[in-house]
Amino acid sequence: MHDLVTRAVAKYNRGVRSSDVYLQALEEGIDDLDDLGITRALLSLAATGHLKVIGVARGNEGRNLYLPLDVDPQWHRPQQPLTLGDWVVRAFWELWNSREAQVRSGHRIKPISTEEISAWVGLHRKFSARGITNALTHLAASDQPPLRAVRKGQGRTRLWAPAGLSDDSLALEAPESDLDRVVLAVRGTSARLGRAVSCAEVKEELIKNHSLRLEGSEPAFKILNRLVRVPSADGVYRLFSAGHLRGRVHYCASEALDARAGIQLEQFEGRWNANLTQQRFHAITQCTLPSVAYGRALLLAGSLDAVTTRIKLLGVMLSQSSIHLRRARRLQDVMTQAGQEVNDWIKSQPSELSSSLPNAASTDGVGWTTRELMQGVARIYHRAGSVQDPHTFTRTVGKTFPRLRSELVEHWNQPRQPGIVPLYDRTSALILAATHWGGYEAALQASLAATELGELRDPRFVAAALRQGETDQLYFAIACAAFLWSAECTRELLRLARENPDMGIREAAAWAYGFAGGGDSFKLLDETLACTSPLGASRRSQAEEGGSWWHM
Amino acid sequence: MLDLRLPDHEGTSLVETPLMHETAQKTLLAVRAGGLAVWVGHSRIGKTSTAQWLQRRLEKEHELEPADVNRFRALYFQVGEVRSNSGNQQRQGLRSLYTQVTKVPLPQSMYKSYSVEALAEVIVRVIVRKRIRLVLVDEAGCLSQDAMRGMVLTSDVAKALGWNLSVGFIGMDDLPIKVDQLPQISGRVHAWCYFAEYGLEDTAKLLSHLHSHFRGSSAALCEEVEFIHKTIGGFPGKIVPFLNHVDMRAMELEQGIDLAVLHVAHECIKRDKGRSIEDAKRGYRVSVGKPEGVRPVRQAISAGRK
Repeated sequence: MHDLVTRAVAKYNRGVRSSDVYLQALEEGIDDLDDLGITRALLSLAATGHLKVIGVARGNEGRNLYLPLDVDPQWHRPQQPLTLGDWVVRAFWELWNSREAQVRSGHRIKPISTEEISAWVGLHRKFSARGITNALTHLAASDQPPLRAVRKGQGRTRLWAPAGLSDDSLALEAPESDLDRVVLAVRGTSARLGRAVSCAEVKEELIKNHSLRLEGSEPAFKILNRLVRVPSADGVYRLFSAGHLRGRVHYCASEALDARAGIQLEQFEGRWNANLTQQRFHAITQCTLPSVAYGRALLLAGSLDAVTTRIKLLGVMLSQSSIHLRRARRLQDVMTQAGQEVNDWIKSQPSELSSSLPNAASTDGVGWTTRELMQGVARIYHRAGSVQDPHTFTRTVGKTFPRLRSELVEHWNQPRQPGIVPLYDRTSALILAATHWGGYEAALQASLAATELGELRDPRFVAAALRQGETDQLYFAIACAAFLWSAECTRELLRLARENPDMGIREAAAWAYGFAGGGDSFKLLDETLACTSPLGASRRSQAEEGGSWWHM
Repeated sequence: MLDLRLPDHEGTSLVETPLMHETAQKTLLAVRAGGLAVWVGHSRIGKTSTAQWLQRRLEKEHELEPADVNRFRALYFQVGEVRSNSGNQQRQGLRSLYTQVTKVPLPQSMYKSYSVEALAEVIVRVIVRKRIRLVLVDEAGCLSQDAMRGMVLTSDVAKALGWNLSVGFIGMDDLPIKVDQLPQISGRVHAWCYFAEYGLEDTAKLLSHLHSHFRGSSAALCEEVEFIHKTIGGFPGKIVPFLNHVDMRAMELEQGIDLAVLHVAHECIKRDKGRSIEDAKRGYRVSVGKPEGVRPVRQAISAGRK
């Protein structure tokens, strides 16, 4: 028997179990030995000191690992686990030690799942998943179990932890799925920053917090999107969109106002902080046209009033303990003060000016749909000409143009099904197109209009300047009227083009009249052009092609 | 009692001098020919006042008959520095001109994408429309040569379109040297106007227009004029504020203006200026000195014991 063991050791190059010795006997043709007899013989030899036990193996193929006395055990320990049970235990401890090393001290460790163990074992040896699960169960139920099962909720997924570790040391709230991880990441980051969070901030949290690392292949932004749009099985939404900030959607885990208030306040501050408001007011006081300055001031005062009211309402709805309350009140004070300054300026204007102008500036700017914008700028913007599909236009070129608002309108390719489409500010689009891609005249007029008009789109204030302005002021009024495309302003442009004694004014008005879509405009322009006019030279060079107001 | 109001308009109006008329005449000749003008002279000699006066006169003439094609306007502005190693200086010069002509900033897209000649043509459109035939650029010594060339390009483009446009460069520093070094500019200069310092006679005439005290003729008056010419110089820009000081001193001393008052006014200005410069050179360190009549403590005690 001793020799048989020696030969088995030589063959396997490690300590051998009784099953290994039995197999060796079968290979050598020794028929009169059975595995039970071999086991007893090995135990006897070990007891008498002829063999030494260098380790144990799990399973039913022999527990002890035997070596002859003269063999150095250091070179004959098994390099790999021998049985499924050994593999499972090895996998468990590898995973556990790795997880323990990554978690900061004092933090609880997430238990190892059956899937993780199967995946680890599968990297080295092929075993069935059922076999691994059974092995784990048997190990946990053995006399000296190396691990134990951790029950969590009603789920079928079982988790495993070292036998001596209580549940208090385990991170049992660790999420089971990527959806849970993302929700936890949003909650944690929101609590830390005190506001709703962006996708980038959620991703950062998912990377930093090891217990929240995503295990699937779905990216975080898709998971966030899904959580916001699709309710869970019980019909409850787990995440909410708190609004856009700096072009990014921000998410919160609660529908409560406090969660959204931070984003709303930042949105207000982004547009209406003290510096920006002061800049807007300063630009108004620098306007060349008093009536346009008055109109812009009315518009600004109205906007400040509306914003102040919204911030006030927000402050009323926030709880007293909210961290955003003080910020809301501070912003409200700033807006109220700015509004007061603008109103004082309006009241200080001469009465003959204020009496001849409307009391409020209209905010109804004319909006272009995507298709209208495409048609409007396609002739001068080379990229627009190559895009046929409005959807592609919105995605590629449309970002260049400032939007007015979005409206529920008939969908462009499904008339019976309404959709939300963006509306582009027509005047801003015309000014932008003229500045970037128009001819000299269009670019020149656009630069005057952009500086003077600001956000004002009410043509009544410009029409008043066309009626009353001095010569130098009329150039600005004409430029503003050219891009407002209003009937009232177009009539005034025609009058100026025909009746004003100044040749320069007549010429500028004629171009603006034609650009705004006035009738018989080319004929009018030809009549008003001076022989030394650069515009005349440009017109003559285009006469045969039919001419375009954009390219003069 | 302190008078915090601005003074009356009388006594501060511009005095038209023969030099101004001569400069205007030479410049208008350059305008007719579509050439350039260069005005050079010492600081405070009256270049800026002359330019602003000429602009107002032309504006007034134009307003009388706007439809008259022979009447035109002038544009005057003070230009900022365009250094010779700072990017595309022609564009910077044109951007400066565009902003002054249109009164709005040049859009960045136009600045970057338009060629220099295209920018010039845009500027010419506005210039023709506003009937401007003379552009007076003050402090032109701050401009680099390329920036000046950019402005001269506008004149060339205007001429190509049938509109005579003159650019007048006003300044000191090394303006005449820069202009002379560039044949493309110096060859186009039709009017070199040098603002010389006023002589004694011209100073007397100027003073008689500026202040009623100096109207008349007497030996004392001649002495006073001579004193002013010797100490302040024949610079209108220095004479006017000096006269204001003289008025102030005369009021303080409660007497009429005479040579003594002029001396006092001059000495006060000189003293304040000198002390300011000295203190600045010393770094404003206070010299620790004993006030008069106060002896050191030990001396006082010893004197007391004695």
